[in-house]
Amino acid sequence: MQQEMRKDDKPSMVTKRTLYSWVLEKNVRWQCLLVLLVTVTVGARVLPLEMQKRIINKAIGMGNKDLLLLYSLLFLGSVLLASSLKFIINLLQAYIGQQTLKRMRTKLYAHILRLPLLFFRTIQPGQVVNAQINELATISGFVGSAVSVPLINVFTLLAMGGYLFYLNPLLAGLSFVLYPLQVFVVPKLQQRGNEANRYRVNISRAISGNIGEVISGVHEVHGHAGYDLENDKFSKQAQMLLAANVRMNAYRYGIKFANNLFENIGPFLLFLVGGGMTIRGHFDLGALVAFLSAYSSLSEPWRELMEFYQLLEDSRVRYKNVMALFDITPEHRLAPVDREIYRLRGEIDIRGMSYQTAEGTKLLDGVSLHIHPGELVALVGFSGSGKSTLVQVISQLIPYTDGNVQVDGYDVRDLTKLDMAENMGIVPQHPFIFSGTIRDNLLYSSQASLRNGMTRIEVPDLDRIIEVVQQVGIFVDILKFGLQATLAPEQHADLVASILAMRPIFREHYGTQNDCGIEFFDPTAYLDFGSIAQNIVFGDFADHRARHEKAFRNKKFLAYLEQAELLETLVAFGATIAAATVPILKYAVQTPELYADSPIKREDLDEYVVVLADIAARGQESLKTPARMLLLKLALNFSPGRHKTVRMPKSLRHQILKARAGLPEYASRTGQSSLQFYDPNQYIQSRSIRDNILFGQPKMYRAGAMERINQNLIQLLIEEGALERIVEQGLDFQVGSMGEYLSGGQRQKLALARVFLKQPAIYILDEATSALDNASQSRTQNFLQTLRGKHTIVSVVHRLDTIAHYDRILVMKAGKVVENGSYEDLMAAKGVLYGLIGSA
Amino acid sequence: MDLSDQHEGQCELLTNMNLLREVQFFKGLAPEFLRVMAYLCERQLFAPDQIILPAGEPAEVAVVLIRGSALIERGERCVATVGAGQCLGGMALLGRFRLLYSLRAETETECLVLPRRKFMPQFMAHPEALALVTQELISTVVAWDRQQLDRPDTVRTEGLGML
Repeated sequence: MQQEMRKDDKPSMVTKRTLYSWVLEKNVRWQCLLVLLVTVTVGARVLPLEMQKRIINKAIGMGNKDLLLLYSLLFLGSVLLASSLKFIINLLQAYIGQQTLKRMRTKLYAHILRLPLLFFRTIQPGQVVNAQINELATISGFVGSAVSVPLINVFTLLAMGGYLFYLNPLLAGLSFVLYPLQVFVVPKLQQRGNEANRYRVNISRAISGNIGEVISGVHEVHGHAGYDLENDKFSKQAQMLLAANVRMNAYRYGIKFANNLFENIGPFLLFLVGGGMTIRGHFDLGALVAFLSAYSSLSEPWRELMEFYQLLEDSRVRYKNVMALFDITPEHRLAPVDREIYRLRGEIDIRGMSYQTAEGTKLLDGVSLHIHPGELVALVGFSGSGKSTLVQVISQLIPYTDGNVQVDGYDVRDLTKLDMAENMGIVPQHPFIFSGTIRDNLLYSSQASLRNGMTRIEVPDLDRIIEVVQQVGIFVDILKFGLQATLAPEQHADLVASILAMRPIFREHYGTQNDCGIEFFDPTAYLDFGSIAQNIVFGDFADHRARHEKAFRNKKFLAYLEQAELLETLVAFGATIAAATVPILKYAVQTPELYADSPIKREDLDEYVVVLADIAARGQESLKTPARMLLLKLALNFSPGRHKTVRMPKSLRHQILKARAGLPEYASRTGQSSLQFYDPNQYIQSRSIRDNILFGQPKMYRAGAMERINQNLIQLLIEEGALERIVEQGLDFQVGSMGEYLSGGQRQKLALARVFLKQPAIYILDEATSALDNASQSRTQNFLQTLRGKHTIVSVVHRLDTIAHYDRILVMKAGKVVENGSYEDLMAAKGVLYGLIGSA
Repeated sequence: MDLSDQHEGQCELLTNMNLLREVQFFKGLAPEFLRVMAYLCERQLFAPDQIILPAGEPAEVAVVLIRGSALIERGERCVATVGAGQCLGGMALLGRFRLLYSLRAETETECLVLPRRKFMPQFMAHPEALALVTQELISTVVAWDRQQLDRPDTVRTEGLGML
C-alpha cells in the first residue's frame, strides 16, 4: 500500500554523512574478514625472515642438507601464503570500494533529483556528472582500504620492528631514528598538496560545467560561428587546469621523494654500524642478513601507510567538495507519512501571493484568485508578465515568498511531491523528452506512479494509448514512424506475410491513380528518385550495413561495371557532376541545408576541388585510381530526381537499364552475394514497411505526395486489420537523445499525451501548444473542452484566437492579475485583453 | 564518353536560374549568388485546389510559379489570380510573420519553393545581396505609399506610419 512506503521519506541527508560512515555501512562482515586475513598475512610475512636467518646460520653454516630443504620449503610456503592472502585482500578491498561507491552514487543521485528546481538553474549538468562519476570514483579506493591498509601495515611494522629488536636492539633503535623526521615533514607537504588538490577540483568542476554548457548549446555556437570564442574560453580553463595539475603533482612527487630519501638513508647507518659489529664478531652474519631483510621489509608497509595517508587526505578533499556542492535540503517531503496520498478535486485558491527572487526582483505581486474544480482557465498577458511563474508556483516548482497558495484547502508548501505528482499534470512550453521509445515517453507518468506504489494506477493498454494519441494529434506521426520501421522477417513472419499480401492490393487500389506520387519498382523502368547504383543493382543489400553508397568499393560490382562498359562512362559523368556542383558549394556559405540535396558531401568537397584542379591541369585521362574512384562514387550516388546541377543523359539511362538486366545472372555466376534483388514476392529486408507495401518509393517532387501516400496506406491498413500492429512498431520508434528525432510540435504532442494518459485532477499547460500547427491546436483545444467539469485546467495561452471557449480568462501584467472574467465580459469591457487581442 | 545528349534539355539548375532572374525581388543579384539560390530551391507540383501557402501559418517560404495558375484568397474571398513567373511570399525570406492570405492552386501548378531556413544564411553571408533585396523591398513599400497617398480618401498613418 502506498501509505506503507517510504516512511523514511525525509532521511538524514546524504550530504551530511562523514566519509568514514561509508566504511562500515553494510561492510562489517567484509571488513572483519579483512582483519582476519590481515593478521594471518602479517604472520606469513615475518616467517621468511626467520627462515633466512636459520638457512644461513643452521643449515648452510652447519652443512645440514635436510634442514636446508626444510627451511627452504617453509620459506617458500610462507611467501606463497602471504602473496595469495595479499591478492585476496586486494580483491576484497576493490569489492568493498566498488559496492560502497555504488551506494554512495545511488544515494547522492536520489538526493540530487529531489533538489529544488532553482538549484538546477545555478549548476551545469557537466558539474553534476563530474562530481558523480570522477570525484566519487577516487573515494571508492579509500573506502575499500580504510580498515585493512592501516591495519596490515601497522601490524607489519610492529611485527618487523619487534623482530628487529629481537635480533639487535641497538641496530633496531638506529633503524627507527629517521622515522620521526619523516612523520614531521611528509604531513606538511601533504597539507599543501591538499590545498593544491582542492584548487584543482574546483577548476576541473568549472571546466566540466563549461563543456556541459557548450555541448547543450552547441546549436548557438554553430549559429554564431562561436568556435574560436569557445575555444579561447576552453583554452584558458585548460591552461589553469594544467597549472593546477602541475602544482598538485609537484607536491605529490615531493612526498614520494621525501619518503624515498628517508628510506634509503637507513641502510647507510645499518651497513656502517652493523657491518662493524659483524667484523668485530658481536653480531653473526646470518643475523645481519636477516636484519637487513627485515629492515628492507619495513619500507613497504611504511610506504603504503604514507600512500594511504595521501589517499585519505585526497579523498577527504574530494568528498567534502562533492557533498558541499549538493548540501541543500529538498523543499518538500517525497511521500506522506501516516496518511495516503491525497486525491484532490482541483480547487485552487491564491491569496495575496507574491514571489520575489533571491536578488530581490518581484516577479509576482499580490496575486489573488480562485479556480473552481473542473474550471477551464486561460492565463494570458504580455511577455514577462509572470504567467509561467504563476503556474510554476501553483505546481510547487517555485516556492512563493508571501501570501498563500492552496489546492483543495492544503497549502502547496505542505503537500508532498507525490501529492502533487499524482494530482497534477504539467506540460511546459519546451517539454523534456527522454531518450528511448515513444512508448517509454508516453508511459513515463504511469510507470512512475506504479513505481511509487500507486495501486489505483494501471498502465494504459494499446487502445487507450491510441485514443489519447489521436486526441493530441500525434497518431499519424506514430503511424508514420511505424511505416518507416524495418523488420527482421524471421522475427515478424506474420506481419511480413500480411505486408506482402497488401502489396498487390495497394497497387491495384491506389497505384493506378493519376500520378500517385510513387515510383514503383519496375524492372524495365528507371528509378528517378533512386541512385545510379540502386538503378543498376535494382535491389538492396540484405546486410543493412552495406549500402549503395559503398558500391564503388565493391570489387565484384566494379568488375561488372567494367564488363557492362559502364565504368569509364560513370567516371566521366562523375567529373561532369563535380564540375557543375563544386563551384556552387565553394561560393555558398557552408550550412547543413546546402548539402541536404547535394550529390557531394560536405566532408568530400575538398577532395573534389583537388580532383577538378587535376583535371584542369592534366586532363581526365591522367587521373589516378583514388581520384577516379571519387568520381565513380559521385556518379553512382547521383539521383536525377534529387540532384539538379546536371541533366542525366538518356543514353546513360539506357546503358544502366541494360546493365541492370544482366546483373542477376552475373551475381549468380560470381558466388555468394548480400544483394537482394527487388522481387514482388519477397520482403525487402533493408527497406521500411512503407516501401515494402508500396513496392516502390515516394516521388518527393509532388507536394503533399507523402501525406497522400500515408493516407492511402492508413486506409489500407485499416481495411486489412493491420493498423494496430504498425502503431505498435511506431510506438517502438527511438526518439533519440532528448527527442532529437522529433519536431518541436511532435515533442509537445507527446508531452500532452503523456499527461492526458495520466488523467490528473489538475492540468497545468504552460504554452503547451505553441509549436503546434493550426489543425493540431484546434484538436487539442477541442479535447480540453471535453475535460471541462472533470478536470481543472490552467493554461498559459499565447494564441489569443484560441481562448474564446475558456470558462475564464486571467490577464496578467507586471506580475499582477489585472483582469479576471469571461471572454465576453472582458472583451465588452474593452480593457487589457481587448487591447492585447487588437494588437495580436 | 558521349555526353552530347547532355544538351537535349536544360538541367533544372539553369531553368531555376532563368526563372529567378525574371523575379523583380531578385533583380540585380550577382550570377554566382543567383546560382546558389537556384541550387537551393525546391520544385513542387501542386494538384488543382491544393493549398500552396496556408493563411494564418508562419510564413517560411517564398514561391515562384513555374507553370499553372493559383488564387490568392483572403478568408472566403478570392483576391487575385497569379500565374507563371510571379513570386509570392518574398518577405518570408527576410523575416517572420503569419501569412495573411492563402495561395491555392487553380490548375495543376508547378512552383519553385524558396525556404527561408536555406536562404537566410546565404543572404547574411553576402551583405551586398541582402542590400539589393532590401532596396527592392524599399522600392515596393514606397510604391504602396504612393498608391495610398494618391487615393482620394484620408490616408491612414497608424503603426509605423508612412515612409
